[in-house]
This record gives sequence, C-alpha cells and structure tokens, in this order.
Amino acid sequence: MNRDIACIGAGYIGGPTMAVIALKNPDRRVMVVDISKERIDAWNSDQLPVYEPGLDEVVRACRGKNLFFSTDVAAAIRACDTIFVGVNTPTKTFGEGAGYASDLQYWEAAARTIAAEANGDKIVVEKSTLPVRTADAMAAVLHTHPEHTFTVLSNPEFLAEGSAIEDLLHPDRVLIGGPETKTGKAAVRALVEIYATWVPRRRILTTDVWSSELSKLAANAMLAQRISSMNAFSALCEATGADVDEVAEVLGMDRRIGPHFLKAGPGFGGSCFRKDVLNLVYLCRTYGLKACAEYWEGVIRMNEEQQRRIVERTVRALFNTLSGKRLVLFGFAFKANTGDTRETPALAVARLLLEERASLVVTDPRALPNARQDLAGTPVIFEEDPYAAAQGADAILLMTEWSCYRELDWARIYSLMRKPALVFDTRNILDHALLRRLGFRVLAVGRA
Amino acid sequence: MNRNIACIGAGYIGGPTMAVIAQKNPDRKVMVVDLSQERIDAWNSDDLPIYEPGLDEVVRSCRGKNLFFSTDVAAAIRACDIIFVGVNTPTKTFGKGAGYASDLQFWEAAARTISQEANGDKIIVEKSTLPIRTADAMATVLHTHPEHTFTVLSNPEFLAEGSAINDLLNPDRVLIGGPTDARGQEAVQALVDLYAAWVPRERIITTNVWSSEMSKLAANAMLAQRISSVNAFSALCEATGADIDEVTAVLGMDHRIGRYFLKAGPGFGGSCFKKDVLNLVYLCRSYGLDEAADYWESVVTMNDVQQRRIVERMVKALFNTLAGKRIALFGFAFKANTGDTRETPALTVAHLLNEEHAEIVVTDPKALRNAAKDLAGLDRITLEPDPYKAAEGCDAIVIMTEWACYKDLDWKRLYASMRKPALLFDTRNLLDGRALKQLGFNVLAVGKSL
Repeated sequence: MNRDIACIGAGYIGGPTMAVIALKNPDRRVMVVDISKERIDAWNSDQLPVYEPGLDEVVRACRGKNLFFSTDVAAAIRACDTIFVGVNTPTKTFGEGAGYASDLQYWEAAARTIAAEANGDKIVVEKSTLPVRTADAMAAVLHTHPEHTFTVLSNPEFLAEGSAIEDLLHPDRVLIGGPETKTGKAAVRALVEIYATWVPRRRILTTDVWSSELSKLAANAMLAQRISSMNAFSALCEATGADVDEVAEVLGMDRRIGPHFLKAGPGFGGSCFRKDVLNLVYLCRTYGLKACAEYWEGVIRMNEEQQRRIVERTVRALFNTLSGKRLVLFGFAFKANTGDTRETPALAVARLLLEERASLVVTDPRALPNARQDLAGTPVIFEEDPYAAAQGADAILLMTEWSCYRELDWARIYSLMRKPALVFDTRNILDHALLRRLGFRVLAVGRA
Repeated sequence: MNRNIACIGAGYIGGPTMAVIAQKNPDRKVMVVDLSQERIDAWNSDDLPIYEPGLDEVVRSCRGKNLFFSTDVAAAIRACDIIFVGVNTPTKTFGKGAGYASDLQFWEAAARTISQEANGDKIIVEKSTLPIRTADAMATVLHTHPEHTFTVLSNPEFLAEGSAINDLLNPDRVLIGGPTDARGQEAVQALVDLYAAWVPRERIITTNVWSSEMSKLAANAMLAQRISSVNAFSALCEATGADIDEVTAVLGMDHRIGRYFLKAGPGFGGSCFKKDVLNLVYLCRSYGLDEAADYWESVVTMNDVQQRRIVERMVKALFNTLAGKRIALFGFAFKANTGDTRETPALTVAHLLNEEHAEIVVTDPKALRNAAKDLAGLDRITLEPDPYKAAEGCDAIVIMTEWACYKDLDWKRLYASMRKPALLFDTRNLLDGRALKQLGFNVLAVGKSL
C-alpha cells in the first residue's frame, strides 16, 4: 500500500481536515477532489471557499507541496490507497424519511466511483456523518468489484465550525471504527498512524464500526440537547424571575454536568445538530424504537419553540402588531466568526417575522451573501452597515453573538431609531443596564 | 444575632449536613430537631437511621459536644437565630398536581411553627428541594407574626446518597440565594460565613432566591436527562450491534459533554431525580409552558421505557412466558452503597415481572428491610439475604444494583444451582459477560449484544 491520501469532497470537513493532515504528514501526498470546478478553483485561489481562523495559513503552507486540489476524482482514486469520503449528506427533502433521514446520493455516487476506478486494494474512510450501518452498505456497493479488497472505516469528524483548525490540531479524541477482522485491524492501524503524527496516542480511540458511527450522532445529539434544556429553563426563568445565566453558572460548576454548551439563546443552528438529531430520530423509528424517536425529536421541537417564543415576545413588546414596523436582525450567521447560515435560528425568526408582515432588515459582518440566498424572493432589505440598518427601526433583534456588536455606539443607534426603541438580545451579550439607561426597552433570554 | 443553628427535619439531608456543619464549626451549637421520636432516638443511638460512609465518625466526633438531636422543635427555634428547614417534600399523591407537584404540608407546618415560636429575628434557610418561588410563600406564612423579621434564603443541597459526607466535605459548589436588599445580603453573608469554615470562597455562589431554587431542579433534571439519553442510545445499540460502553467512552472524552452520568442501566432511581423532574414539569405547566413541560416529561418517560424494555427482553429470552418461572433480583437499592429504595428501578421491574406471574426472589446486602415494605401485598415474592440461596432453582438472575460484592460471587456455583437454560441479565453492565457466557449462562446486557 502507498501512503498517499485522497479525499472525495472539498467541503467544510474535507478541506480543513486534509489541510491539517497534509501539514502534519509532510511525507504524504494529500489530494482533495470534488466534482465542483468552482469549489476547487476557490481552494486553489487566495479566496478559500470556507472561512476558518487559521485555515489560510495551513493551506498556504502545504498547497502545491503535498496538498493538491483537483476535479480529477478518478486520478486521485488510482493514485492513493487511503481514500476519505467527505461528501455532503444533507437531510432528505423527498421520499421515504424526508425531513429526517440523510440523503445518501452523493455518498453512494462516491462509493460507485471508487469501485469503478480502483486499481488495487483501498482503505475507504467515512468522514461524512452517516446513519449507523452505512459502512455496511458502502462495503456492499464496493464489493460489486470483487477483484480488489476494500476496507471501510468510520472516522467521524468532531470539529466545530469557527474553531475547525484549533479542533483539528488539538482534538479531544480521534475516533476510528473498523471491522474486527485482520484486514480491518491493519486498516485501522494505517489510519491511526496518520493521526499519531500529532495526536497523542491515548486520544485516538478505536472501536467497532457501528459504535463509531453512532458515537458521532450521539455526541451531537447530547450537545444539541444541552442547548434545548437550557432554552427550556430560559422559558421558566422568564416566567418566574430566575436568571438563566445564574442558573447556567451553577450548573456549570457541577463537574457531572460541566460548563460547556449551557448558553441559552435563540436555539442551535449549523449543518450538524439538527441533521444529526433528525437522523437519530429516523434511525430509532426504523428500528421500531418509538419512545426513543420521540425523546430525541423533543430536542428539535424545543429548539423550534425557542424561535417561536422570540417572535411572540417581540410581538407582545411591540404592542401586538408588527405590521409595517421596521425590525432589524443584527447577525444572520448561525454563530459568530462564520459566514455559515445553514439552519441558522435567524432564518426561522426572519420567516416568522415576515409572516407577521414586519418590514425586515438584515445585517451581518460575514453572512450577507448566504442570507441573500436564504431569503431570496422575500422583501427583506440587506444592509452592511449596522447603523444604516438601524435607521428608523422599531426594534433590533440581536441574533448572532458577533463581538463587534458589543462595541457599537448604542447611543447613536438609539438616536437613529423610532421610539419606543426595543432591543431583543437573544444571545445575552449586551450590557442591558447601559441600554436601559440610554432609553432602550430591553428583552433578553431567560430573564424577566 | 447568635451563632447557633437549628435544623427542622432529621432526614437524609438534614442529618448529614448538620453533622458536617457542626464538625467544621466547633464554636457553634447545632440542634437537629424532628417530630419523630423514633428517628431522633436512632440519631442518638449507635445505629443511625441512615447509612452513609463516614457519617458515623462525623456524628460520633460532635454529638453531645456541639451537635444535638431532639424532638423539642420549639426550644431549638428559640435558641437559634439561623434555622434550616429540611423536611420531606414528596411528590403529591392527591389533589391538584398529584403525581407531579411537591406536597408542601410538612414544610408549611414547619414555617408556621417557626413563626409561632420565634422570639426574635431569624434567618430561615430552605434546604428541602422546593418549587420555585416557595421562598416567597414561606415569607408570607412567616409574616403572619410581623413583630419579628424573617429573612428566607435558599440553600439547596447537592449531595448524592452513598457519597453524602464526601460531597459535603468537598462540594463542587455551595449555592446560596437571597433577597437582593440590604437585609437579605446580610443574611446571605451570615450563611456564607458558616460554609466558609471549610469550603473555598470561590465555590460559594450567591444568586437571587429564584435562580437558586431553580438551579437545584435544573441540575437534577440535566443529570437525569443524561441518563435517559444514554439509555435511549442503549436501545439503539441493541438494535444495531453497536456497544453502548464504547459509545459512552467516546462521549465522555468530549470535554463539552464530560464523562459523568453516562452509564446505561435500568434507569435512574432515588428520591430526587424523578421528583425534581416531575416538579419541573408541573412548574412549566402551571406557567403555560407546555412544550417545556413535555420536553422534561420525556426524561421520565424514557426512564419508564427502559424498565419496561428490561422485562420485555426477559420475556423474549425466556421463551415468551415467565409464568411460574423463578427469577432472582440481585440488588434492590436504587444504587450501590445505600439501603435506600425510593423510586428504585428494581421495584418497577419487580411489579412488571409480577404481572407476568413470575416467582420473584429478592436479595440485597442492605436494602431488604425497605424491599419488604415496598413489596408488601405482592404475591409470589421471597426475600433472601444470601445470594446463593436466592439463585437456587432460578431460571434467571437479574442484576439490578451495581453492588461490587456481586462481582466476587462464585458464578460457577450459582450457575450449577440454577435451572437450565440459565439466564443472566446484567442491567448494570457490571459483570464480565463473556466469562459468564463461557460458564454456560445465556447473558443479556444493556446496550450491547454479547
């Protein structure tokens, strides 16, 4: 076997992961391929298609040396004996399992291409988040070409957008699932070697394939659940006079709970949480586990409820009608430091506000191009400058925790707005006492 | 104000907490009072009414010096200016909110007694787990005697049974909620001083009263939820061939999730988790937050499902009938190192097995006394302290509690004494399933196929 590495799919996961693998394995050639010419051109330009702190530097350090981006999928499959598959597996929008199951068409196409083009034995590494037992299905597709041996490993990626490079360089754990056979174990060892160049060996966990596949879904489901739980508490805090941030602080000091992912807000977003939880729901249903399916579906329902509550509270605070009022969303990305708007709570809130016939303005330091696509066909106004956005507005809804919003001249913003001026800080990041002194009416999450 | 401390209620919380406070504050007099003469006599005897590792030593070192147990509630209220209230607040079994809300009758009686007997200003400390805004209600009851000032603080206890003394000596945090006015802050400071005798100041958190009341419910709800989530995964692992212990090992290495409370098993038990979650459900409903109520209720539902699944899998493994079969439950306490059986999963499993007309033998190193009470009135139940005798002639053994001693049993001997085929269902994933399989057992575990 040669030491070269291919990755099919040059998206949010494939790109940064391969860049770091190339950086840490200078003796290996790493080829990232994708059928999208536009995407590959971007990876070969100065304007990478993914924004991540530190990514530019890593790519610049390796590109053209041992890291290559190309559209020639077949050549990469032939040249490399280890092939990562990191294609998109969005939630199905049609047919059986629509709205829950993963759409595996890109993934199956990749498997078929590997089988058709392979010129020898290959290790195939699942990097996309996939339903449990997908490795089995992949093996079945691959074995339509039985002249070569394909060993399918599961190696789910745990990076978080916005800190992808940091997460890749210092992972909590690298998880590798492989068959319990001799070939399987050899393949697992080969993959361990790639990561062991920079990850301490005790952080590299090896399991069977199914446990590995399930672990990724499980981790995201538990993280999403923490957020939904805090949001459920936030509703009760608003009703009783407790303060959700005080509650979160107490919870975080309990070592059995831990301090992370306890921030109440507008609900979780991003490409993974919702998709993975729905996937889990679908899996449970498939296996006849109705109570489990409903249990996990509750995490999604609570998230949607949180966005509905934000709009309900806004309507109430604005005298029960939004019709014709100018409302501004500060932030549209699903979290700060990214332009990614997939499953962003801001989109759900924007749609609900539009239903109330609000006149809507959206501003965001990075996400406006995506926001324009997401809201295409609506009368929403997009505005780069937050001050211009606030001009004549009745209310500002702070949707993304961009730190730049903390440094705005809020006195100036107040003077630009129609009175009474409302700020709804759905991230609890602003100085509410100061805003009130300036004259704002302030709503927050989880505070009366 | 004097520095003496009273505690009304000598139960699982009041007793150990006051013992540690007395030990760490040798200059203060601590009086624990309760209406139950039997309970107080037990605290004054060599056979304390609750079992906790280390408790005997602490009580022995202070009792009669600065720690006193008595039934004279009125005297304690008059003698002490700081009064903890740690009475029982079980889930209501009657009337509005039955099955969800807390029954506050003992707590209200305590408040009324304080207000009648008080001879000066008092700081009242809520120690029982109570619904949010109970402090408000307590203040109202107390102010029926307006000649004295009562300041009500919330100071929820986070100790876990089985490690109460250690949790009290080294708490993750001590939480004190108080009114934000000057008098409230002064009372908070008085309580901070009490704990600062041994708890590092940065671990003592002060909040408003409502946040403090809410935090206890929230913490227990989140912990119970972790268990329900892992149990939901265990069902999927059984269906797909994944291994729950491998999955939880991966989850535990994620620093955002953490490694605690990730053990799949027969579901959570104990006096707090279910009660607190149901309390939260009730609170959400009373404020019209139906989505939030359903969300938390599903944590309890998943727990019930896990126990039903255990019995369903047993029925399947024992050829679809349990009628007349003899099944030994190894362990009845809701967890190891305690005799406490409140809300124990073993009781639910026993009831479900009984519905299937199985003959049940229960063994447990500490909980048989409670088991006898819990199971009174059920037919076909035997209690047997000796696990070897319990297993004799049985079709199945179900490990219900993770007692370490079960690991050291002579499983070969147990196997020999059972009817064949012999089933072992390890609902705690405590034993070496593969080794037991080799001995001849059919083995079931939670969240894995063996």
